[in-house]
Amino acid sequence: MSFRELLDVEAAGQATPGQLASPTAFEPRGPTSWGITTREFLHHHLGMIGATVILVMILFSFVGPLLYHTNQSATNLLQINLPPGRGHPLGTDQVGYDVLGRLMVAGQSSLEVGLAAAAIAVCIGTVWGAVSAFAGGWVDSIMMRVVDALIAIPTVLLVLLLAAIVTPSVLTIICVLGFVSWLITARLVRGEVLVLRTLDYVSAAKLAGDRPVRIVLRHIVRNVIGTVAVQATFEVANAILLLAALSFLGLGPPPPAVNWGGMLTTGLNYIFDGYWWQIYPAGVCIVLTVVAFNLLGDATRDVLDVRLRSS
Amino acid sequence: MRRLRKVLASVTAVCTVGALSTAIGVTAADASSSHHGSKSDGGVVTFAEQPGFPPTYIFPLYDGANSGNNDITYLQPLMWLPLYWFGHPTNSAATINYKLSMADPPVFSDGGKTITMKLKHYDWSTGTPVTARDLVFWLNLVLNEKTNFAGTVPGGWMTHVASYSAPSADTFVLKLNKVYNQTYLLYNGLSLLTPIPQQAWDKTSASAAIGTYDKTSAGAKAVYTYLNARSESLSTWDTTALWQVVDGPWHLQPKTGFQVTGQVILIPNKKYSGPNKPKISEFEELPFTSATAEYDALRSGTVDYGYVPTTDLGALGSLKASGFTIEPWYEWGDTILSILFSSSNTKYDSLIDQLYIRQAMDSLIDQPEYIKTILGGYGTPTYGPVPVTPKTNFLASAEKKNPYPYSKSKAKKLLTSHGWTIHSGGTDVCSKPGAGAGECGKGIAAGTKLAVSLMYPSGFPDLDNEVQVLRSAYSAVGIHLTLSEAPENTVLTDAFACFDKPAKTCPASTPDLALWSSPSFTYVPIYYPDGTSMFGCGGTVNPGNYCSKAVNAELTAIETEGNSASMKTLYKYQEYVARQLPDLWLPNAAYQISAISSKLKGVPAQDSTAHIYPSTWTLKS
Repeated sequence: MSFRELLDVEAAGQATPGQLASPTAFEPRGPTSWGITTREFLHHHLGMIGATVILVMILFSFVGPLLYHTNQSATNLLQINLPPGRGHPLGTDQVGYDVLGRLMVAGQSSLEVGLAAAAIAVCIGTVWGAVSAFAGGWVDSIMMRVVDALIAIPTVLLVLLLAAIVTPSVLTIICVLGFVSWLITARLVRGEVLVLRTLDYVSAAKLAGDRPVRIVLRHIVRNVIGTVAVQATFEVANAILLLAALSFLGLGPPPPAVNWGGMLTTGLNYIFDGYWWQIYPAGVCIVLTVVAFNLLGDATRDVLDVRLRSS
Repeated sequence: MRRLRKVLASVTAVCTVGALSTAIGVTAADASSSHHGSKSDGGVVTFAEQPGFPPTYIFPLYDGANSGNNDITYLQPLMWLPLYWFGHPTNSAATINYKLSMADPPVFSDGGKTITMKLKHYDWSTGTPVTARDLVFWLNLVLNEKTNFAGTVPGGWMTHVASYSAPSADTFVLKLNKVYNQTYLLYNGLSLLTPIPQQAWDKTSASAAIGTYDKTSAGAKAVYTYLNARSESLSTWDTTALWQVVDGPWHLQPKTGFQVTGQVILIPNKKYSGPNKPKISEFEELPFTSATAEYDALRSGTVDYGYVPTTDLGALGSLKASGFTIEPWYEWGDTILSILFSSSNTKYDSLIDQLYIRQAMDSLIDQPEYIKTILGGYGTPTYGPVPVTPKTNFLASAEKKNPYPYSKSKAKKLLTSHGWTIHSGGTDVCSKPGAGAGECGKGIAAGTKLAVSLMYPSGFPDLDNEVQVLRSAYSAVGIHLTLSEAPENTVLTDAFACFDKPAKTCPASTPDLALWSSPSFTYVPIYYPDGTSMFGCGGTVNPGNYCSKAVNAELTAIETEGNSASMKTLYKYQEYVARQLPDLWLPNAAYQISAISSKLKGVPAQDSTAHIYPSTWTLKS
């Protein structure tokens, strides 16, 4: 094994820096760190609840329509505002769509937007934070002042501004939410990288002549993945909430696109009519999904942080 | 514990979004000052202004931006009466009301070119009489500031004024160099005349002495500039002495009569000399930021005369039990889905030029069903330029019926018989290009898709529902409708972006179809329902640049022919326009579904010209 390969192994977290000095450092010694992490997660009750709810929601949204067939493209004015009953377990809405079927379709948009926006946010945030910290000096100062400036603007205001500028669609909303959600990730990653870049294996990689890009991608970024994974789950929850807020304010994707926030907004128009089935189901879906992603994020952090491990 | 806090934080975040949004929606202006009967014998009546539309202009010479009901029907006419009053306190007809007018019927002479108007006796609140000189003063200002007056029609009667004078204190003579149809001129020209107090307002600054500045063009402009500036200074309305000189039954309560949020407090003009002297002691108009906020105030008893959002019609029972009478208020206007013949989508121009495509699109609008289910029964159909409600002699019998009743099969047949391959649920494709019979039409190439974009305003659940149902109906026959939602002002800006311009200069954001409100257009304060502004070439409310020589010729005839011939032409014209579809017709939603407290008496009808008559109201203690 070459020196560079040894560095890569250490950077991958399979050995602590001190183990490099020992000739027996790479002999098999019980479960891998992935195995330990998995075991820890399976014992994390709230985390399991969160993961289960998310799985149920994904199945509900993406598999549900295959089992529960409803027409979500044609309105039906003869069946508007029907209460829950035979044929419509959760009733119908103001233009005759079946609410249960609508929840499933809306869930697809909400989850897609949440996951995609979170992916964009963590990608931008991770690269931004890592480059900023690794470069240091004036580059770091400028990049972090940009983050400070954007963080100073309330997220909802920023989202409203951007949503008003671009024509709302699922794709543009994903981009908008991704663009405004990477700031916290960038700060977190920068903090981690500032510590990592002083570690021996990073210094060794520099001495070995590795290019900065390789060091960042090969040795730095993969060591902050734990932090990023935790943050990503929170970003998913935040993106779903922001989408709900945007739709609530009438700036979400227009029909025929539908999401839980939009359903909630429409339902609230009829609050005094007593059409509870147009309000509660969408609200419950939002709350459950957001709480589930937060539980998942909390659990992920717990199992990745050795100081918080139960054993 | 930390986990619990995290869970609670998540729940709190969800609740915060809800609460924040609700707060935005529910925030109302200060509407807490209702105090029935607490001022004096007559009591205080509170009236809800339309949500988000507080008064913005007090001077009764207003431009287009300040010509909403909040100014020109709810505020100004209560203080400064027009010479000829349109509308009635006891019925909804949008017709001339000579009883409430300040002048006798106009007398036409010299072949119709000279119009003589005899003023009845009215006094200003200063005690001096209203004279013809006050009309001359108003017209001097208007003719020198035509572009700043919403009642100006390019090429209209104002451009044909030969002279005007006040030969005596109670006689006003207007001479034109063109003969107009008398009814047309009364409804669209004389309806605008409004005496304003020359003896108090003919000045160019606060410190200047009253003069006769209006007699010169420069002087008239200077007077207008001064009065306009005072009117734009909202915070000083109730402290400006100018606005206390009125001839109507009401005036602003000095010092506390107006708040910039839009709250208006009017008190009786003790020198009012006309009919219907106020019986209540105070009339308050309350501003609201949303219909929900207004509805909350209504339910809490803060408002005597308000309205119910269409979405809350299911809850009318509780309101009725609280002693409210529910009455729809219909305006003298039309609701249209504006077709932008000059849109950024030049491919669409060739599609929409085809009458059969417009007919197919109109055949997919189920007006009766929209009215019944979406508007809860509180709507009236629109079949052409003349409003169907209220009933008038202006409406041709042919326009009482829908020329293109709802029929998916007819719409489909229209398309297939013109060479389109139907893709139900998808997008139709032109299979037979060409301009011959059975072909798609001029400029439509093979493979062209039948796809159009529609922009509509956010925040109007009824319109949102109508648009969704429309998209679904279009989709069933393969017309692909791409929807975009935006604030009403944005819709208006984008819809008018190509106004009077060629398509190639249009911004990319221009939609093919635009819907901005219901009703979209009202015949107030120009009451004659000919629709020149909407359907005439270059009309000010013709964003789609529709232009037809046949329509223009008929409009000219309507303006100039004798009464009988003009009416016949109006019938012929409206039938033609109804069938030509320069716009698609949508049902008129009620301007508002009024909720009137049982304590408030004397509201037998709601005026379709949107005038209100608080001086005829009484409050039961």
